[in-house]
Amino acid sequence: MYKIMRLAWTNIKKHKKESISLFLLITVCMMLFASALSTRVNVSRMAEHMGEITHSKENYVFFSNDSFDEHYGTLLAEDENVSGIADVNGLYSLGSTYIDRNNEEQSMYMLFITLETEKKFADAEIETTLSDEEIAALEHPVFMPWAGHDSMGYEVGDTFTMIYGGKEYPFTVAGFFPTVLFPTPAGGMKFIISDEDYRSLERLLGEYRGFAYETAPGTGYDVKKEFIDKCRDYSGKSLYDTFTVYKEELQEQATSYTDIIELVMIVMSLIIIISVALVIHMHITGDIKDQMVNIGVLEAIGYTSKDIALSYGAEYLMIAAAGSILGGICSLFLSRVLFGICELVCGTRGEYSPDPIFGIVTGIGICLIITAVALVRAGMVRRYPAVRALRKGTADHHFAADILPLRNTKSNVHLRLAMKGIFGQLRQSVTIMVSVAISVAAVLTILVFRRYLSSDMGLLKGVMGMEMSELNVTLQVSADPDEAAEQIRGMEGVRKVLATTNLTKDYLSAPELNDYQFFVVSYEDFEETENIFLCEGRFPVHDNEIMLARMNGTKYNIHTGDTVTLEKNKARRDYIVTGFVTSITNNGANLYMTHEGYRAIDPLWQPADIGIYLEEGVDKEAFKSELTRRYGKTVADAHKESGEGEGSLEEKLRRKADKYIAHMLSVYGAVNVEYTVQSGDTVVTGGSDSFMIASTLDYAEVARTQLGGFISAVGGMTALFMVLTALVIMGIIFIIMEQEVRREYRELGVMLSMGYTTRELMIQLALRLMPAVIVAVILGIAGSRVILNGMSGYLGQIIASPLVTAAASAAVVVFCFACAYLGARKIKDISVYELITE
Amino acid sequence: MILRTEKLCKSFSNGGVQQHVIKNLDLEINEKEFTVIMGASGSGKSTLLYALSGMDTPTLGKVYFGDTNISDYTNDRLAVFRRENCGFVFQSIFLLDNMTVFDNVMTAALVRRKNSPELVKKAEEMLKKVGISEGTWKKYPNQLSGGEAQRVGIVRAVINDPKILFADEPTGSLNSASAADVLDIFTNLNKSGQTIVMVTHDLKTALRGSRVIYLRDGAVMGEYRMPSYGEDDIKARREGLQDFLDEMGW
Repeated sequence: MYKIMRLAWTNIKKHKKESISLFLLITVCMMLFASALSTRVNVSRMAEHMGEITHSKENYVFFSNDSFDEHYGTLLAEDENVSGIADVNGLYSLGSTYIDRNNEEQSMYMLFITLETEKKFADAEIETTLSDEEIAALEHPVFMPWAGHDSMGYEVGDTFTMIYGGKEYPFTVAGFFPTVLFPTPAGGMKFIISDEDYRSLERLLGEYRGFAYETAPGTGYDVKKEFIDKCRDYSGKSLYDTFTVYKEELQEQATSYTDIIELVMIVMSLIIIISVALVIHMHITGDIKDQMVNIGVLEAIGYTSKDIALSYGAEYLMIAAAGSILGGICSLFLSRVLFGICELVCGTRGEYSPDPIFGIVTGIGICLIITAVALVRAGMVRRYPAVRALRKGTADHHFAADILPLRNTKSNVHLRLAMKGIFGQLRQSVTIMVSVAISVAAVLTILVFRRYLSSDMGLLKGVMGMEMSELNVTLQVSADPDEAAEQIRGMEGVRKVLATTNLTKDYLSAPELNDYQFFVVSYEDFEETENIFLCEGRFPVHDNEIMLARMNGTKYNIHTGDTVTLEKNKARRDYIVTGFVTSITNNGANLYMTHEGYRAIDPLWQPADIGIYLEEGVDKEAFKSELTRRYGKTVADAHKESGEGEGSLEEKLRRKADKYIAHMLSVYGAVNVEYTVQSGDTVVTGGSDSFMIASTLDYAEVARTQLGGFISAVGGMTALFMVLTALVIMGIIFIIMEQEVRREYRELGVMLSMGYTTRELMIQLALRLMPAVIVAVILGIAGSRVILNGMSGYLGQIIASPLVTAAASAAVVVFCFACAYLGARKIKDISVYELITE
Repeated sequence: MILRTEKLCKSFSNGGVQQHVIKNLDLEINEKEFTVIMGASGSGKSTLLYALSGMDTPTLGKVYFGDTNISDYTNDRLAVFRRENCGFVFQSIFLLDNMTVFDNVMTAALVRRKNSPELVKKAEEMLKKVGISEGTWKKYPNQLSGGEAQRVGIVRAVINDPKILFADEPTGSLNSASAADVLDIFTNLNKSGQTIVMVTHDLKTALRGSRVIYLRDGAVMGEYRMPSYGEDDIKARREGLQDFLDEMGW
C-alpha cells in the first residue's frame, strides 16, 4: 500500500498545478452540494417548527364580519384533530399601499391586529429599543414582522405610512417580531397596532373574524376543508370571502422560496463533478501516454499494472479527499449564510444547526465517484506490458489519413495548424464540449429566466395572465358598475375602461379537482383585453366556456375541449375549456370566463372592479388623485364630517349632504342617492357617485412587490452562478491547456525553433479548442431551449431573446478563447535550447 | 561577414553553482562559408551554435547579425529573426510526429509566407532533390528511416532560403551510408552559396567544411582553413585537419 501511496504522491507533486486546480474544483463542488443539502434540511426543519419558534398557531380561518358566526367555533372544536382554538379578529386590506424607504408607493396585502389579539394565537418576542413608556407615548405605534426590518429596511422610530383610499395613515415603527402568519411583503404582512388605531381603521377596512388553532400532523388541509363545509352547511352562506392558512401550506411556502437557490447550487455542483470526472479521464489517458516509458520501467522492476492503476486511483482519491475536507468546512459557513438568506426570503427566523453528516455523506460520494472514474480510466495501463510500454506502446505509430494537408492551405497558417491539431485531440474536445455545453445550457436558462422575471415589466407582463391596466378600481357594493364605467370613461386622459371581477371576492371551486379554488377573471369580451395571452386554443365567447392558466392545465392534465365542473353557492355547472393562458399569478389559479359565463353560475353577480387604461403621457398619480377626489370619498370620512367649519355655503351644504348619504349607504344599504338644494339663487346638486370607489390598485406594483424578494434571490443566485461557472470553465481549460503544452512540449519547441512566436503558438492552441466550444455553445443553446420549454409548460411561453442568447454565446466563446490563450502561456517557459540539448 | 560575436559569454546556474560555458568569445562567420565548430564534449560547441542562431540569448556580450545586435532581442523578436534568417538541422531531427513529411516542410514554409502553388512546387522539388520520393511525402516521421527523416529535416531547414543554416551534429544519429548522403546535401548546398555553421565531433563530417574552429572550455583555441574542395585534395584536407586537431589536443 505504501508503495502505491508513494507513487500517487509523486504524481501529485509532478502535476502540482493540475492537482491544485482539481482540488479547488472539488472544494467548490463539495461546498455547494453540502451547503444545498444542509440548507434544505435546516429550512425544512425551520418550516416544520415555525410555530414553536414563533410560539404561534399555524392554522387560521378568517371570515368576513358578515359571514362570521360564533357557532363556528363549536363546529371547529368537534374535529378531533384540532386543538388550542383561539378567537381572532383583524382588519384585512388588499387595496392598501404604503410608502417605501425610497418614497415610492408600493402595494401590499396587510392584516392589522391588536396586541391583545396577537397574544391569543402567538407569543413571539417583540424586539424593540424603546421602553414601554416611550412606546406608550407614540401616537400611532406599529409592530411589524422581521421582514419589515430585513427586507424593507425599517428601523425602530421610522415612519411607516399606509395609504388607503388616497389618504395617508402614518405609523411609527415601534418594534419587530417573528411570525408565521403574513410574514413578508410578497405574501402580505401582519401589523400589530394600538386599540385606538384599530378602531379607526375598522371604519375603512373590513374586519375579519375567525379562529387560530393547532392540527395533528398532516391534517391541516382536511381539517380546514371540513370546517368550511360545516360552516357553509350551518350558515347557508357561500363564505366566498373566507381566507385560510393551514400548517402544511405555510411549510410549503417557506421551502418553495429556497428551492430555486438549492436547485442552482445542485446543478452547479453537478456540472463541476461531471467536468472534473471528464478532466480526470482525459488527464489519466494523456498521462499514461506521456509516462509510457516510466510505466514500462516500473513494470520492469516489479510493479504490476494493478499497482500502477491503483496509484492513479489513490492520487485522485487524495485530491478528492483534500477538496472534500476543505469544501466541507467551507460549506458549514456557506450554509449558515444561505440559511440567513432563506430566513430573509421566508420572513421567518429559525434555528440553524450545522449538520456535518451532509458534508461527510457528500464528501464520501464525491471521493467514490472520482476514485471510480480514475480507476476505470487507469485500467488502460493493463494494455501496456513492460516491453510494449518501453517501446512507447503502439499508439505512436500513425497510419491515419492526412487530414487538412498544408499544401491546400488557403487560410491563415495558424488557423490551419490549429484545425489539424483538433483531430489529434478529440478526447479533450469532447471534455470541453460536455463541460461547456452543460454550463452554457445552465447559464442561458438561468439568465433568460432571470430576465423573464425581472428585466422589465414588459417581460413580466407577458406571463402575468392578468390585465395590467394603469389603475384598477374596486367599486363600493352600492355602485352601479355600468354607470361607474361610463363616468370614468368620460374623464380626461382615459383611453379605455373594462369592467371585471374582483380577485378577492370572485372565485369558483372545482369539486372534481379536490375543491380547488379558482380566481375568476371575467371580461365581457376578451378580445378587448391587452395582457391576456393565449398559449393554446381561443378565448371563451359563450356562457359555457372557460380558459385556464397553462400551469393548472398541466397540473391537472386538462386539455382544450375537456369539461370542468365548477361550483358556487352550491350551484354546479359544466364548462368547456377553450384554451390556456400564460399566467404565473396566483400560482396559476386564474380561471377566465365571460360575464355571461359567470352569471350563468351566479345570476346576481355584477362586476366589482374596473380596469382603467390611460392615454400615453397621462400622469398616473395625478389621475389617481383626481379619481379619488371625484369618486373615492369614504363613508367613514363622511361620517366624521360635521358640515360646519370653514368654507362657503356651497361647501358646507355638500359636506352636510355627504354625511346624510354616507348614513343612508351604510345603515340602509341605499344603492343610489341624489340631492338638489336651492338656497336663494344657488342650486347645489350631488349624489352618491362621490362614494363610488372603495379602493384603487396598481397591479403592476402588486406584481413587483409580490415577486420582488424572489427576483432578488434569483438575481443574486444568477450572478453567483455565472461567476462560479466562469471559474469552473476557466479551471478546466487551464488544466487542459497545461496538459496540452506539457504533452506537446517537443513539437512546440521545434515550432519555436522554426520561427513561430510564442504568441502565435498560444493562439494556435487556443484556436484548437474553439470548434469544441462553438459546438458546445450550440448544444448548450439547444439544451437551454429544452429546459425553458419544459418550464413553459408551467409558466407559459418563456421567450429567450435572440440578442441575449447571441450575446451570452459570444461572451462564452470569447471567454473560453481568452482562458485557453492564457492557459497556453506555459509555452513561454519552453526553452528551445533546453529542448534541443536535453 | 554575416555573423559576429563580441565578448560573448554564456553561463548556466545549477543549484547555485555557476558554470561558465562560453567565455569572452569573439568570432566572425563569413557569408557562403561552411564553418565547422569542433571540440570535446562540454567545450561549449552547441551552446555557441544556439547563441549565434538566436535560439538562446547570451549572458554577456553581443551577437551581431550583419550590423544588427540581436543579443537583446525578446523571445518573440528572436523567433521572427529565426524565421527570416535561419534554418536548423538537429541531431535528434525533431520532425513533428503528428504531421506528414510534406506538412513538416510546409509548416516551416508557411511561417514566413502565404501558401501558393510556387511554394508547394518548391517544396516538392526540394524533397525530390534530396531523394525523398513522392510516395514518402504522405508518410509520418515514424514511418521513415533515420536518413530519410534527416533529409526531410534539411529540406524543412532550407525551404525558406535562410541566410545561415545551422546544424547541430546532423549525422550524429545516422549510420555511415545515411550520414554520407546527408553530408553530400550539405556540401551541395554550400557549393550553391549557402552559409552553413555546423557543430560536430566527427572528423569525416568536419572534412566537408571550409573552415574549422576548435573550442576548448568555451574559448576558441584555434582555427583551420581547408585548402580546397576538390576531390583530388581529400587526402590533403584530411591530413591537414588531423594535424590541426592533434595540435589542439583532440
